[in-house]
Amino acid sequence: MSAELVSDRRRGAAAFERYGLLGERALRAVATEPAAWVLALVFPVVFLAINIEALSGASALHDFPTDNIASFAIGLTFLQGALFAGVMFATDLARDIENGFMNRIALAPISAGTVLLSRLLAVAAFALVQIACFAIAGAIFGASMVDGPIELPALIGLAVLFNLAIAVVGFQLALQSGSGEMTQALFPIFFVLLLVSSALMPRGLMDAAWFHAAADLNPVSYMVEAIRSLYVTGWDASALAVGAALALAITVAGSLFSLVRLRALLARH
Amino acid sequence: MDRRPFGIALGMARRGTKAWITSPAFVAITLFFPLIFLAALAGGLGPLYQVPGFDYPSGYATFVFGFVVLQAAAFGGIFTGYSVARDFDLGVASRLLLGAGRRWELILGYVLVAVIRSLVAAAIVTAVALAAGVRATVSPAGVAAILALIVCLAAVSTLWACGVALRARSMRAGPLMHTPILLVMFLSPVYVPAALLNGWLASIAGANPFSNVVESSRSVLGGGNPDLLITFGWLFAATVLLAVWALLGLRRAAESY
Repeated sequence: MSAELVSDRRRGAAAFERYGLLGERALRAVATEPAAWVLALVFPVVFLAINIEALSGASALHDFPTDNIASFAIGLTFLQGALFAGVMFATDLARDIENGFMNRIALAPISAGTVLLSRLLAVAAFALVQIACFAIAGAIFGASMVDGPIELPALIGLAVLFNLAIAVVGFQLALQSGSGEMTQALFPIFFVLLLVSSALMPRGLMDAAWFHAAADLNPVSYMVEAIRSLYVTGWDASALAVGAALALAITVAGSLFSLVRLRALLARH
Repeated sequence: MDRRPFGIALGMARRGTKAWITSPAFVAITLFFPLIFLAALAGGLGPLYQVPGFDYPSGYATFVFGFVVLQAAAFGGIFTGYSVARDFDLGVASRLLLGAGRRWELILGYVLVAVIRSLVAAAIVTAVALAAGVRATVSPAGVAAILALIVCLAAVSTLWACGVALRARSMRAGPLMHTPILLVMFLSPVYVPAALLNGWLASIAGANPFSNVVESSRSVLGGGNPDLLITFGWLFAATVLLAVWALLGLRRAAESY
């Protein structure tokens, strides 16, 4: 084995170690804030339970897509979870800027890409915990995937992608402002997007024209509908593709913008 | 030290209200959630009005408004709780605790701030709702009843949030201030009347005093004449209990300085 190959492998192993260490640190930082992560796991489940009972009458409406309100309502649960998690990880990034951790990172041989990727890995790892929690809670409440566990990989892929999409928007805000308080503003912004979408009522049944138009323009509607399709209609390639494509586009664009901001931030020190 | 009766409370109310009205961001955040809920629920969930058994003649938007106007009051209290926590984060609270002879007036001052915020927020939400087409047939006595509900609910939510803030003494306790209040509110008939709720939510909503408050508000807005004695009895009991909770928190905070 040539010395160059050994050196490349060592560099690769060191890079993986850095992703692991920084990602683990990001996870550990949110783990020390139980108020935040418990909320990200429990609040969406509580609201799912409430919505199932409170909206149960809606299934009596003509053209309502399903009799099973739990299957209808669970799409919102995944997006709500992604919102809580996104705000939590973005606020943690802002706090790292505020408390000078990024200054120390700037002095170490760690690239902006490594910092960003390790954070995204932490977001994805937490998303997996949320998916397990929400899918199990949904099953207990009576939500079941139409085509069974074969759809599980699609559910996992979509939910992770949605978490990443919301998190990168939060990262952008955190890097732009460098303030945890400002980053918390992400919550009301996404909260509006969640409410003014098809999360609680199918778009076809909305009677207020302005609300229907707003829900049509809102990417969150398509994300909710992608997950809902797995529970209500079964494999719907177009709903899944639209939801995934939107989330992927937001994730890629947000990551690129975040990378540029992060590079500038690290170069300043 | 201010020796006039209620001088400290009035001073606190002046300070808090001035800080609120001179910060557009604080005003906006107090109005934000109620207005968004009004738009999203009235606009998005209108078809629920067609559900068989939905008995509320004044329309779905008025039905939603009956909840949202109370939500505005509760949020006024929650955000005042944030102000208490911020006073601790910024170190202002220690000076207030050292300077105030009658410390309970500090709590009264925060409650007054919340009541003012809530009444202003409710007035703006009402103006927006009327402009958006919400129709209500309310007698002068009904208006007085709604105002009294707003004042009482603002006091109750402030006392809860103050109690949390005085124990945690940090903005990080924010979720503990708003989550229980939001849960109590959503474990009531929010989207549909109580008669249309199902399962465990129907049982919990039946036992939840806030259900009584929101149903009274909707009944008044619909031109009804509900028996408000039980509603105000609940609110009075909650105010007394939470005043004790807040005062014990104040004592604990004072002992730590």
